[in-house]
Amino acid sequence: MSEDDQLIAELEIQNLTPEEQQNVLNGLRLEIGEALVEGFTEAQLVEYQAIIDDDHEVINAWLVANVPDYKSTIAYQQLAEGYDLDPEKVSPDKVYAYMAWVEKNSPELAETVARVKAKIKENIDSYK
Amino acid sequence: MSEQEPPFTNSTESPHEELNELELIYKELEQLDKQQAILNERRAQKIAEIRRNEAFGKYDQHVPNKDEDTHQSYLNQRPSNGVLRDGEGFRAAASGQYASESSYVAQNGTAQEHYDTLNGIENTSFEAPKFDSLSLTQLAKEAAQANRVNDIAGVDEIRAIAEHAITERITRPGYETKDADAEQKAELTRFDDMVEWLSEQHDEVAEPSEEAMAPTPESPAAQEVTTEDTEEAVVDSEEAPVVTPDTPAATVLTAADSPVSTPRLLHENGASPTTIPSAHPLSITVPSTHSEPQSKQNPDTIVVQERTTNPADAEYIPMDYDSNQRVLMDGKDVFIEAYSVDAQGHKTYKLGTGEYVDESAVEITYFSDLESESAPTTEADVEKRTLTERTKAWFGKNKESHKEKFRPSYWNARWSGLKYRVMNHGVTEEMSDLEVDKKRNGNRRKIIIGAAAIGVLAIGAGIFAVSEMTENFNPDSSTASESPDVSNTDGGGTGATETPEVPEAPEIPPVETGPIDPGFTPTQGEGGYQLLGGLGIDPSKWDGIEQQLKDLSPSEFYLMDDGHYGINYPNRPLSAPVRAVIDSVR
Repeated sequence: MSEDDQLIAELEIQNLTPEEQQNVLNGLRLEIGEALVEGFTEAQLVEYQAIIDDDHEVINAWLVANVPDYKSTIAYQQLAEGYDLDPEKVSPDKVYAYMAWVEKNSPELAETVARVKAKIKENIDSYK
Repeated sequence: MSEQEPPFTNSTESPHEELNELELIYKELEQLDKQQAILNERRAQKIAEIRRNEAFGKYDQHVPNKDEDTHQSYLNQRPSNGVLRDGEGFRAAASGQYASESSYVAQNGTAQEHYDTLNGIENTSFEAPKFDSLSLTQLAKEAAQANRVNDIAGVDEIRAIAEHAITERITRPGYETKDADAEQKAELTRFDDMVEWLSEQHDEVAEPSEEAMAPTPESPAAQEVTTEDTEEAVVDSEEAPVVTPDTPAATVLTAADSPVSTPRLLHENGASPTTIPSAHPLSITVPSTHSEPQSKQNPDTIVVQERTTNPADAEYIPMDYDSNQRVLMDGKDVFIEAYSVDAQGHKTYKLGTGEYVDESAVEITYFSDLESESAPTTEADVEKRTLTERTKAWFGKNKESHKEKFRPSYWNARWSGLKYRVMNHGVTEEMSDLEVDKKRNGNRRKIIIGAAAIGVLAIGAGIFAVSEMTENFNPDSSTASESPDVSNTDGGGTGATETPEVPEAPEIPPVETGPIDPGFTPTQGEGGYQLLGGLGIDPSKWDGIEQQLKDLSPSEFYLMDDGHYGINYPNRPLSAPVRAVIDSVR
């Protein structure tokens, strides 16, 4: 089951149209992002922005400093697979860093995600 | 003052032309009269029809008596009606004739409730299956389920739907067949076989024993079969010989020759117990019992045997079965007893618990080498293996959706389309273009952070798990599929142009293994001066090394408004290279 499918099941929004489901899921991501951003310093946000904007220097430096053996991780190797065939050449370094950075910089990640999910689900249930 | 024009002088038509126009109008009126007459006639017919139907009670409203709005409440007040239990049997109260148990139970609820009652299942979230949308394999399961509870009407209904589906498939435009009738008959026979086999299987393997669930030294092959170490044999159900204990490799079975009533299980010669559907015209791959060195086995291989088919079955194979695979299913250690493949190639697994699971609903990873020599021996090893498999499986399913968020097309479509209102969260009409861009970019960043958070949470520590294949994985390889260069890529959605090659990462001094001086862990709000002061170093030396530190480890420092560099991460030790530079100015 894909991540989206799992979230759809978790939030019990199978009855919505695919478009509505995507809006709910993006709303969930937005709210989680909003909640996590509150805990970041301006400098952290600047760094993250640089990572997602494909600033290779920042990405490389962050990875070297924080996950020196990132190229040996399963996650990185999975992301690097098929790179040759990707016409847009989305960098696995960036995708890896975008996830690993959040993991490293969010001490209350699980609690925050759970709290936002519960809130969204409560909102959805109230409309049923 | 201008001259007044006489009325109608603007007409340029001759009297002859005016006459023609009048004739046309009259003709039109005549036609309309005819149409009106026809409609009046129809109206009269309809009124007559309604009155006739009314006279015969067609539109009568049937209002239930008070407190009789369900069949059961109706029966409660009429004990002489309905089906009643009579000892072990059931009888119609009014006629005294024998009735089915399903008729008795159906009075009290839905057919599903009937099944659940019989099986002692509490099923509070049941939704009636939409048979029309099910594949033939799924229909067979439903029919088998109905069969087991003697719901003959249910079996007939499902079979009719299956027959209809087969007919539709065979008769659809563009489908070529030499003999549609024969093909339909053959497929329906396969369907019936499948239902029968599934019904019997449930009876045979109602409760898997402990022995069946756990691998034993006596049956090592039961869980360890890969395409590499398995010699496979294509078995034709009508021609192949029966297996004997002497059969060394390919275990071969034919239903036609079998002295054992089918279905049956193969356990001879230590073979993986393989269940063969009765009288099934399929070719089946049966695993060899040869024990080739397990080192050949790739732990990453998903161990599902290749199925082979007769050409006649190439388009639609009702089912084939593999047996007894121990796997991780959504992280849980479960036992797959068998699987079927429907016409669309979708697999459905039958678990040792008797449950059925569609492959699309779960993440499955095989660890058939768990019992091999190279298998982990400690709990930690098993946990690590589990983490590895989970991480691989997760990325296999979700990496594209995460990569997608770095493709420019993704964001362009969402920002421009009103339907993606979340992307425009907080954007108002009063905002300038600059403000709108800023808002959208902020939303984009939050959504990306949220997506990353959900992802890393799903794989947990898997994001940092190091591959066991590290020795074979050369990160500096020129093969981009394994280790692509991060340069010249743009997926940030910013429309940024290509960027130059990424500079080589700075050399990192060896990390010392001893404890880190607590002074190297900045506290909240602490800057470079305070940090050096805390370490007993002249704070002014910060000005001399801050640029070097930033260059060395850009992520750990940021440029402040006053032009100096601040420290990014409070409560986290500075990296070893940074500490080395600071130590050098002591």
